[in-house]
Amino acid sequence: MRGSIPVIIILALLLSPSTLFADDAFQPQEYTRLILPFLQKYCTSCHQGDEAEAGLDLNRYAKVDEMLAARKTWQRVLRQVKAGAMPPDEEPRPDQETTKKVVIWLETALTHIDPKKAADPGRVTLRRLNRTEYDNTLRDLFGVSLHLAEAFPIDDLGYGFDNIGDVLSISPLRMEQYLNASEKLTTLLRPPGPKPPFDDFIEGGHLRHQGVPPRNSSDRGRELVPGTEVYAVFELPLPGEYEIILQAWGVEKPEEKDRSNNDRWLEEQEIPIDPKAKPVVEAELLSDQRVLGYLPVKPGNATTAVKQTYTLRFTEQAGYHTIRVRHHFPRDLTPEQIKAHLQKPLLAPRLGLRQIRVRGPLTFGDATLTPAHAALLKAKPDALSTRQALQAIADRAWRRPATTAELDDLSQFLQNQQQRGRSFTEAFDLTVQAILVSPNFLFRLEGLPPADARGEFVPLGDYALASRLSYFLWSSLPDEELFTLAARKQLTDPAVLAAQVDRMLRDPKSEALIEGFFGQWLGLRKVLDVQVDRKLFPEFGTELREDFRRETLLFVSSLIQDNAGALNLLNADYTFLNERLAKFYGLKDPIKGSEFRRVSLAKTPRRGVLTHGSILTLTSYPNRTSPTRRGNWVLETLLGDEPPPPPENVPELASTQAAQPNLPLRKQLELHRINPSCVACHQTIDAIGFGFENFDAIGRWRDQDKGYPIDSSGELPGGAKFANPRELIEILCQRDEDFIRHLAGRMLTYALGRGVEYYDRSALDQILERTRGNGYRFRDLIREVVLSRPFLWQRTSLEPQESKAP
Amino acid sequence: MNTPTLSRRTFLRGVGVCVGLPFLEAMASGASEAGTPVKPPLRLGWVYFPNGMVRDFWTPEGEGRDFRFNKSNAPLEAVREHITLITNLAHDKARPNGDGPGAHARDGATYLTGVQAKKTGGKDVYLGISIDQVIARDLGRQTRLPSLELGTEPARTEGRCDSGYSCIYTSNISWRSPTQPSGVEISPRRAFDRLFGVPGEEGAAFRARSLDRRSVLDFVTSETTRLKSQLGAADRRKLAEYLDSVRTIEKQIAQAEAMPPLNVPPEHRPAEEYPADFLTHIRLMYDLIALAWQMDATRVFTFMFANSQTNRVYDNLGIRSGHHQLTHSTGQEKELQKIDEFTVAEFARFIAKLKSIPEGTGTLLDHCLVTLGSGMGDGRIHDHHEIPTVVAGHAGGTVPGGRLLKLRQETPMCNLFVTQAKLAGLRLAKFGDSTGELTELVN
Repeated sequence: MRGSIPVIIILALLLSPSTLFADDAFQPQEYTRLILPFLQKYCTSCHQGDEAEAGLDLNRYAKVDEMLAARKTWQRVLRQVKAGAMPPDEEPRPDQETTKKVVIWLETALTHIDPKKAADPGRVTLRRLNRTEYDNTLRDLFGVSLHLAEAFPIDDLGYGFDNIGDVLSISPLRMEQYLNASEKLTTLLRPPGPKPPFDDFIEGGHLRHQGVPPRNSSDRGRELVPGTEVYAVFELPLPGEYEIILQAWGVEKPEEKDRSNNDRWLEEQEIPIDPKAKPVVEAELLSDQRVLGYLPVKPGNATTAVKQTYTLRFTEQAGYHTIRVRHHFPRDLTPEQIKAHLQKPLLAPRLGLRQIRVRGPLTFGDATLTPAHAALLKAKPDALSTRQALQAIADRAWRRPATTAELDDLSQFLQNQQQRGRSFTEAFDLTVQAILVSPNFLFRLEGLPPADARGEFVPLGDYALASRLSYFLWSSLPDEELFTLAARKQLTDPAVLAAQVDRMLRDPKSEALIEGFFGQWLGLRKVLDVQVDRKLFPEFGTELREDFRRETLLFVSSLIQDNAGALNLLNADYTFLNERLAKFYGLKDPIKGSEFRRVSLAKTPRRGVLTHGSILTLTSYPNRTSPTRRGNWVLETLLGDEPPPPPENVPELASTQAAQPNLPLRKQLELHRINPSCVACHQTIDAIGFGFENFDAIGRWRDQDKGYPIDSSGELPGGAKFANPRELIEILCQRDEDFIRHLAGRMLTYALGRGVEYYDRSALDQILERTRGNGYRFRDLIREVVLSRPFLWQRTSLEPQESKAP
Repeated sequence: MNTPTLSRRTFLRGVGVCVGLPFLEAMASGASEAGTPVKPPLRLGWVYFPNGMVRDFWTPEGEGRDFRFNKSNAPLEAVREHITLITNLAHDKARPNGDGPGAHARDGATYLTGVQAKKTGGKDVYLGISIDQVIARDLGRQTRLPSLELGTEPARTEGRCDSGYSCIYTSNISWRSPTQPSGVEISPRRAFDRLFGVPGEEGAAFRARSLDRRSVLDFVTSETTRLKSQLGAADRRKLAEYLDSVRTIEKQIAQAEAMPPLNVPPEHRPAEEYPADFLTHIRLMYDLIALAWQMDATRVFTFMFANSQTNRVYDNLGIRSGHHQLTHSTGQEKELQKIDEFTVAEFARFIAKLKSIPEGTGTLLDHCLVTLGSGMGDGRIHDHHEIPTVVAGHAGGTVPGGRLLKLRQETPMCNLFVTQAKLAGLRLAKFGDSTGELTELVN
């Protein structure tokens, strides 16, 4: 156990607030004085020459410049030495003081940038629209809600995100899907034919309700008493005129007592429809909160409702809409009659519903169309009109004004199609398809100034900036306001930009940022398909997965809307729950219904995202918790302290578990960590992980595991002690600078679509500096990312630049 | 997920039974007119399994024709005379060789390329062209699709993939170029439509669109050229990739136009929804491949039984832990073995299906070569030697089958590929880390 004492000290480094960045005393000469002798003494006996261990020849770096030209390699060296994993146990190990000096010097050197030179803003590889961006862009360009990209192959990930230029490739398969999608789209943008593209219905038994439940619910229908409402959500693919078709009936004099089960339907006979019967009740129809109209409904029952339908037309935009049906008394009732009914509501006339059907669009009617859609429909076969229409579409689809040459080409293409026998409409649609499979649409081209007019670093053009902004915050194309600001060259003004960030974050489209950034950073997308052993956890179903995800997304969303300090992510004493989740968490206060609402956690052991069911489940195995995974997740995902990977071929918990299967997990893991170079990382990782052992593999609180009481106390290297998860979380919050720096780095990665490089350090420093005073509030962080140099500038050199010595 | 529909069951039952037999017909007419029989073409395919296999239950006994199956490969008994078991194949480039952990990413990446994957979490993915694509460039010219890439699991949509390797390595085995994977289709419906064209009226409209598509693609090709000047090197690589895909589609369109439409009865078209369970999914994919070969819609396929490092829970086998997790737990050999045997059983079922399809004077199995293999040997140790390998089919009578080949330790898997390419009429001096040919496979 020779190495164990220094190891503890190094661990203190691993989990101590990093103050290194404040002091940038980079001393290149120390490389020869401090590092080279260290390498000679502890490293090069294995790491040299052609046969070097791990292919790492440390003799190749005689000068500090050579070392700095290989930053990636030296990051790995730093990681190993810092964690105490190298030198290995059987080799002589350096004392703690030396190790500390070496680690500090390396950290300083590897993040050093020459303050006298202009900072390198980096260069982003051309980004292809990912699936989300593709769908959102079409949604906002044409006002449709089509999810065409769901047919595309899944986007590859880089740095944990699906918007990284370097890994977003195009295969023939994807190309074929682009063609398919553009063809489907142009067909749908034309006025609908006799068979409308959308036709969907929800049966009465599946209609949802709020407040007082409807009576006599059954598979075949529901009866609404006064004051009740049922609803169904429909996703309308296009804007336009739709129709609602209700299979409904009225019950003038309900039976005094409800029969509570479905027997009623079995006995029900078809009653003859009386064409002269008077309506006994009305259906009030709403789309979301907007009243669409009233349908007077005649007497009948669930059987006759099929034959007696009620239709109402309405105009609506594409997207999700809640179609509501409310009970309404007939207009000719006097207030006295209504009052009498309301005194005995169960005996008042009822509105029966067997089905709500929505179909359309029948026409585009007077729905508001986007400029691009309107242009497509308005285009006439004369040259000028055609050109204007194509321009209106291309300018937006390509997110910058199309050039004269490009418009010439598009017009020419359209003519060619007509010449080979296509009608004007067909030719126009083909031209729109060409616009949409063009690299100008599929890629986010940011453009460069002319070669003779550019320095090494140049600010991004106005339109490129508008797109960076809109794809960062909305995962979609710029809106008319951003386009206008870009056209007026006002967007580069920091005050204008900051105001736009605020405006855009208030827009519902910014949900894309919550789902895209936080969903991927925290791993929430995985919650919907994380493997859980259903035999051990029968309660873990689709609903719970969706609840877990909703909880965390709503929580994050509220942090941004409130512009809360980022540490709230870790220690907030509130969350968002519905009845099911509150019960699952064992909350004392009753919460009713499936809607989520903000709930205080003050009287519970839960705090922040680390105690959300989503994160606790994601960091567990299908059948048990994994303190190692949980600890590793905290270090890697939240603090950016990625421990070096474990050596190959280490069986997890292998020997111990087999030998002593009945020991508690904590004991097993302790026995397992006999090797000092394992202990180095696992001491920290496992200590954090065990701090959350009170939460089982699907995030429920527990006091025992396999009959053993849970011990969630622990001590981190460096001496910080905790007795329970809440105290551990407070200790983690003391590393606020590391957490924020990592968060800002992740955000910058997502915003830029490239990995964070050493030269981004000054940008990150600045983001931290400017947000520190107000407690690192979320919107401030987002705004400062947008105002940072890597976001606003680009390097013009065409070749990727290898890291150069300072 | 919906429950399987009637049409899907019909599809499963119907394949190999009631579809037209192009080569049988071609032979009948060709032989009568020209007097020489038409020889069915050679087809090649590679199936990939992740997480290795438990060696103790895999290693067969004996040698040559005199061998005994072990527990995990026992399901091959049913097709014994048509398979060649190969022991001691290795994939050295799947080893760390200085790159540290990441055995799973390298496993999938190396399997068909024999190349050390560049370790990167995002930037500069670099591997090598895979053997199926080398062969497809040649064999693929004569079919509707040059090659078919199938899988069952979507590319992982979240998180760091295996120790700093990009997820691209764990979800692809077929690579068109060192930087570009071929992409994997996991939807049976979409695979069908690509293979045979959309049937019925829908299909007629689809074919009418071919010309339109060509115009559109012509147009974007010329627009792309205009863009190139204002881009950096990495950006130009992206556009080159784009143009490459455009050209491939153009070629496919040209090919489809030159080929008679495939008359596949529409009831064989799988449902649009994903299959409800893994077993159905696997079988649908295998059936599609058999149908594709039978109809000569493609001659080359790769199929990922699951992605590298899959943590799939095989609940159909009564297993409760994830596959990858099991390889890291001691005492789980029996569970792992069930998965291994299941993998082999489904492969054997596919081979039997190929054997049931008459073609020429024999069966489809006589004219193909299907390999079951991986880049990993035993998943518990994450090693890359003694990789379980089965080659099924007779490649037009050149591969006898019914044998166990005991090779020299550490024989590169790529030697097998060189020989397979040779059987397909391609002389490769070297492929990946090959050191020669695997002459033992042939007579």
